[in-house]
Amino acid sequence: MSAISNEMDEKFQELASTKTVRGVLILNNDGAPIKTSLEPKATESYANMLHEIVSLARKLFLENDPNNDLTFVRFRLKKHEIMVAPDKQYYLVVIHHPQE
Amino acid sequence: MTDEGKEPEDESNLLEGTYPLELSLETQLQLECEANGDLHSQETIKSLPLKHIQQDLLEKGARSDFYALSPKIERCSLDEVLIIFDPTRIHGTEFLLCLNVDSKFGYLNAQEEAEARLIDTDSPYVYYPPQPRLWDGRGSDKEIEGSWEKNVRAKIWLKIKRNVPRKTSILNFTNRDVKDAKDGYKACESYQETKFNFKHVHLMDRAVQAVPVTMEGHSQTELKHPKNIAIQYEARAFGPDEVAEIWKSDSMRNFLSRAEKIMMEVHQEPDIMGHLRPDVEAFYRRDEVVVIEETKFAYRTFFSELVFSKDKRITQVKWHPKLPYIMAMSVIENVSYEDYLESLSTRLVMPNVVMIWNMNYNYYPQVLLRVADDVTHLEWHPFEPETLVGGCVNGQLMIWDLTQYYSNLESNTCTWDHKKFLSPQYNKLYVQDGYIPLLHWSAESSKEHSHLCGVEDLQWLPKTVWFSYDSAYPKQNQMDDELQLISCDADSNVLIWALRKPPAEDGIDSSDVEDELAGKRKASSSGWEKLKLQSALPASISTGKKYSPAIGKYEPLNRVWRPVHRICFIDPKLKFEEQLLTTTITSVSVIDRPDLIIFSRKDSTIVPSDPPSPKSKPQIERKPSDTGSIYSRSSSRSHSPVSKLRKHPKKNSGPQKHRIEVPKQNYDSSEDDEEDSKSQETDPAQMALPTFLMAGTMFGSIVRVDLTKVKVDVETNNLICKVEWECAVHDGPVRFMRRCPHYEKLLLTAGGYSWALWSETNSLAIPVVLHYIEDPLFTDVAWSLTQPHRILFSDEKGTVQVWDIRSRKSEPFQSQDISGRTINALTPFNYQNSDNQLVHYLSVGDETGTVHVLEIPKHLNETYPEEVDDLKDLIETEVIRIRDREKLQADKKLATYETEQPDETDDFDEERRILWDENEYLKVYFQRERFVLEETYGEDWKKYLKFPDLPRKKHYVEIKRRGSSEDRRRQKELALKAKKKKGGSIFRK
Repeated sequence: MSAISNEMDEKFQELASTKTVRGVLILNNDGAPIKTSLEPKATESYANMLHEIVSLARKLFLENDPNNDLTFVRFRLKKHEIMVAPDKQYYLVVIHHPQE
Repeated sequence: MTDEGKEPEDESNLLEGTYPLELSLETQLQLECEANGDLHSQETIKSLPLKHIQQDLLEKGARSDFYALSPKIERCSLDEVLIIFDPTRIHGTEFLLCLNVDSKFGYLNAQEEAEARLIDTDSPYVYYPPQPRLWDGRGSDKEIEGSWEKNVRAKIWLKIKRNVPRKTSILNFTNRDVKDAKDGYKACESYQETKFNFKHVHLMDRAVQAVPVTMEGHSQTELKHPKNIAIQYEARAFGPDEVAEIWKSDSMRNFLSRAEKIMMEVHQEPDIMGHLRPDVEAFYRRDEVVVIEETKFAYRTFFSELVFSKDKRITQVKWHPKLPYIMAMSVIENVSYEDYLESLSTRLVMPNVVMIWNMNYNYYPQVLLRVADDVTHLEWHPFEPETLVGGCVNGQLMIWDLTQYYSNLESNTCTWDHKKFLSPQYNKLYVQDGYIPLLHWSAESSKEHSHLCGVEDLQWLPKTVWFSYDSAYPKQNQMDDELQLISCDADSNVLIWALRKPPAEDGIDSSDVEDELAGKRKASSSGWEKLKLQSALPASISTGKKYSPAIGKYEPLNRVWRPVHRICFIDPKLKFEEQLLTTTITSVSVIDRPDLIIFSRKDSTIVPSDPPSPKSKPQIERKPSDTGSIYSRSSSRSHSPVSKLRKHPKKNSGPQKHRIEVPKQNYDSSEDDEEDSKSQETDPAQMALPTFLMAGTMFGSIVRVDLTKVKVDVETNNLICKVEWECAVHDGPVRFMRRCPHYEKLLLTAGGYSWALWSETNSLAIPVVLHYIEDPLFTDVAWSLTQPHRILFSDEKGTVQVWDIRSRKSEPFQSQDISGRTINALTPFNYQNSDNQLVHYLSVGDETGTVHVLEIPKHLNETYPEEVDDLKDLIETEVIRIRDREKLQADKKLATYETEQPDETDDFDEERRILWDENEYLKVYFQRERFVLEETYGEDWKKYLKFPDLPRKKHYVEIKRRGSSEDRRRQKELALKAKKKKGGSIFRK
């Protein structure tokens, strides 16, 4: 078991320590953070808001076509980019600075 | 169906209008109310139309069952009546007939109640919890969609109106009194006023307005104490165990691998917007407000006068020290100096006036000041705001007293009337016609005591320094409001002036001077008249019966004003003939050093004082010895040259007034004199204040003179100073000497193509900072008023340059072309504008006779509190560095081990101008380093090197004995190690 978790941790760390990545966040489908590489305050705000906005988007598409699903959301901001990969149970959020 | 059911059927309770009735079977069938058929115990009431009963009465007559009740039936007004079946025959009959509304409803109600009771059985109560049901829409759900409200039903409109017509009856009012009251109640009723009539006011607009007040952010049920289980206070978070569990779960694992895959895919396409990006960015940039901070000097206003300043060269622009919007400006003809000198004798025009401008009225000057000759230098009196002092081309000094117009200047009002000014007039050059007032000078200095050639520099002495007529030494200034001036000419004379009437001397009484002047004036009156006509002088001055050119409070000084002292210089290293050449002073700056007095006090030395000695024995001052500032007074009986000075004793001036304290010239004065002096009291007023003069010469050298070490020349009564040191620095005449306004011990000199900074805190005979520049020649220099490390320069090409002292580059920090014409006067000043903000301006006067006022950009204004200290530190370190360098140079030839270890970090971390050979220096340094390290650490000294990467090898060659091969190998290893170490550290970063 620990081997699995180590492997998972490794994956997570690899993602978080990528050069352009500022923070990685894993939420459950209620928006509660499970794993984070951000500060607690930032984590909280990101978790709340992103979960809300992504689940809203998801609802929209599911309503139109129940067989379809949202797999990826990408926010392009002035300073950086936020990418969200929503799944049935968990959400992966990556905040990164794209290379210019 | 218990006792309660019987109650209404009780005889006594038989309702009014109900009558007992027997019906035969025939009638029962006819009326469809057969007992136990149509009507039974469960359904006892039947409603019948009254017509049927009436018909029955008509058909059967007395045989009818209803006959007994026929009168009552006739009276009945109902359409329908009730027949009640009463199987229990309470009232004796089988049926009852209701012929009244009340009774009818009474029975109907009773029946309903009975029916209702039928449902209520006596079965035991069982609670069934309410089950959630689907929303049963009654219409309101259609009105609410999301959070929006909409109208789906027509609103009910109610129009309510008073039906009673308005009463128009005439009311009669009568007068009543308190006494009329009988029941103790008295209302103050309205009554008819007989004195005047009321008018009925018709058509009064009345309206009621309902204002909807909507509020948001409220819940319907306000939670006063919102602390319950349903409300969440903290963000949802998992405990560590939960997280670990989730983390280990397969779903998470699957999810992460899926998400990772997506992320990798996304990484392939880094830009979300693709080729749309430029368009999108351009779209958003459209609204963007770019705030660009002004970094250039922004043009604000200008001053130019068509008659008096156009095409003339501005020599000085001086802003008033107290009224920041007032400026004095002097101009001369825009010709080269040689041409100017040539034309001087042939000129017919009046000398150029000095103009006083107000920033708020920039079309004409406020006051014109008459001058004796063209003015090259101007200074406002720092304490007397209405006094202006100027130095002329002919060597004279002038004082103007602006008291007459000062109120105008102070209150920011105009001295001339613009309306009158512009109205067509024949001769509008008079003040009373609104013309610009022309003010005569208050005093001009006596020609024979002034400079012989043009004034080159004019400065106020520090306010602590005071030269008196009877002492050759500078003293502590005892007056708070008086200042002295120092001026110099190109003729090696430095004059010190006080704004006071000099003691009469040489038998020329001031009244004599006046008479003499009057005579001269008469002789030249015809010429004067002519001049007046040509130049259209105001009548007030020229046509007065009594010609009194000088006005104002300094009038007594006019033409008798003479300098307190005239100072000449001797450089002890030079012969007398050479001295005149080298000491052509072009600029001066004086500093007092009261800190040195304290030093002398500590040494318990005595300071000169001059008690009035009745016999007026000549006072002799002892020349200070080499230690610097030991002064002693001695009442010796020396045959001093002062006695010769007193050739013309005056009857009313006290003898001591004429006495000049003379430094003793024979230095080997007797010892007992000194002992004598020790008993004297020290009086700060009489102490010689250590005062130093820095002067720049025509040949670019800077001269420093101690003004306390002077001799008095017997013949000319001049003070002769020895030059302390002279340093040839500049490559042209030193035109400017400016003290830093933030740190007065710092002096800026500029001349030719160079500028330098000098520090007075120590006796360094070389500049602290020296920069040479390229082509355009400096024309004026000014310190920034706000930033202590910034200097402003103007040059011949009309450019303003900003230099930073801290920068070691010999190039300006910023430069900007202003007018394209040679700038001659550069003056920064601070101005309080109408919004009460302090604005930093720079005024630039060029050769076209225009003064441009520019706003200094913010980055050249901003100051930080520690900047002055930073500057001081910078200068101090620079001085230390120069000292060290000198020391090193001196020590170079000495044994290297004897000197102290130099500060390593300080010498290597910065690039610097090394005056001597770098290799030599490094060699000395490495040798010393090695020696010290070997002493302390022995064999492994190389490990402790502070900078192991420096190229030591080539410097070791000379001193190193040939080491063994093993030694070399070790050295290589060490070098490798060092390299590795370095690489590692970089990697770690």
